[in-house]
Amino acid sequence: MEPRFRPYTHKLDDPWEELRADREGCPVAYSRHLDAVQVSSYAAIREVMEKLPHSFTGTYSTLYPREQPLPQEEQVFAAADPPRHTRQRRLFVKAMSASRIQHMRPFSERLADELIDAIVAKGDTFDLAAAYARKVSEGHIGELLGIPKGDRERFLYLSSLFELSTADPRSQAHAAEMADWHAELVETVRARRSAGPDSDDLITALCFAEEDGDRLDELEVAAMIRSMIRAGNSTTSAAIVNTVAALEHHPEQKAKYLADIDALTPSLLEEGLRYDGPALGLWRRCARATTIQGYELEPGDRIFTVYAAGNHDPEAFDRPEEFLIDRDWKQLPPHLAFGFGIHHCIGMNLAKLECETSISALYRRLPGLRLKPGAPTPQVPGPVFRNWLTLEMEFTPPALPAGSR
Amino acid sequence: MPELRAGGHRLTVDHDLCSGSGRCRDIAPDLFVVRDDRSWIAEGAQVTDADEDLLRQVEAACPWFAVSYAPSAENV
Repeated sequence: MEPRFRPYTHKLDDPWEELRADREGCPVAYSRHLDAVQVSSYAAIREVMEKLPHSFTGTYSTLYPREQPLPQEEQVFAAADPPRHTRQRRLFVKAMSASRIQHMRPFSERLADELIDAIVAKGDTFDLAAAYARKVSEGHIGELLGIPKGDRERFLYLSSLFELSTADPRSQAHAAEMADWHAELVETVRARRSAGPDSDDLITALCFAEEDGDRLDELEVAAMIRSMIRAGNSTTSAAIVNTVAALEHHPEQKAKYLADIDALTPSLLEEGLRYDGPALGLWRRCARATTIQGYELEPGDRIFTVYAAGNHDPEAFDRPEEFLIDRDWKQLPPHLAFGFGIHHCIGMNLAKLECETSISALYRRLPGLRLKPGAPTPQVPGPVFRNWLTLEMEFTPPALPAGSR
Repeated sequence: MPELRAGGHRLTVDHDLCSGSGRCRDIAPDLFVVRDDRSWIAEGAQVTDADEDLLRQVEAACPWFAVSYAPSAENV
């Protein structure tokens, strides 16, 4: 049996039936549509993740099926292998740790309230993606990097170009703009390094971070920041939008959530990420001969791990096609939305904080919040992401004041 | 910060870095538990010379570099 999943040409709004058929019939199999070995069961994806450090490489990019490795300075995070990856991650991990990210909570709550105030000031309908989720994500990254408020829109715009470019790897439509952006970022890094180590923003921290007397050069810092924005901006925004969309399509679950927002927010977020997380799948290449669930892979073979399929695997999750916001995640295996193993999403703690503060504030403050009937909800193209690009919503004023609990 | 010293071995989990992914528990289920989104050294856990390889694996696998292990030979 051949995989049916055709995300380049026939990407479905609801791919779950198609992914179920592939996961059951051919969990590890060559796909003509992807020109890669498609990996779609939870166990097989986990096996890939466990074998990543020894048998696979991300240096051909995890976001595009490239024929050549990325230039050395572009090999960062998921697109880097150990020991290069280990050094980068060590320098970055302190800034993104759970304890450090908790310091951002007051900012995060304030930002959600300001954005809701702006929505309320404009009327009783809004696009959740453009007016809220993207601004939440952009605001947190801007704050972490110390980007002035006036420049934050531009960061968002360039990140969205990048996301669109994954849908058609041959397209050069955005190459010039993205090259300009890279050059600008290198200049910002140089300016921060010249300004000295006193500022507590992440760019300055990376410029002066040391590991065994070794420092990152400016190109590497710029590539890491770029990679962080690519990996963290539209994905976190999508996590917020996808979770709200799922909740709105399941009225019984929504009623349950509204009755106990405080208690249910953590498990709602986990379920949102499992049921319709932002990462549909990622690319990698086999570097050393290995097997996945017995399927033989040779060096040079391209693989595509379909996280969304693994997250709907009944071997891992009971009633996987149901959206159940009160699953007991302490008793369940982890969902794959943040990956697994040495490349585990380094922005996880920040993403969780953003989703928690923004989704809970939205449902606390906007009475009668609901989808606007009949509004189209376009899905981002391409095999890598799941993201509703607009989600038109309405509510019944008056809104509750900021800080409502 | 959870710490275990036994027979000259020293094992620690840095809770400033730990984000509770549980790789340590997956690899060494007798030595680690995950509770309140953090990893802890299991109650009554024992570390002997025979655990050195296992703990080296845990140290290398932690995505947050939160687990540190020094075997007795390095720890005198």
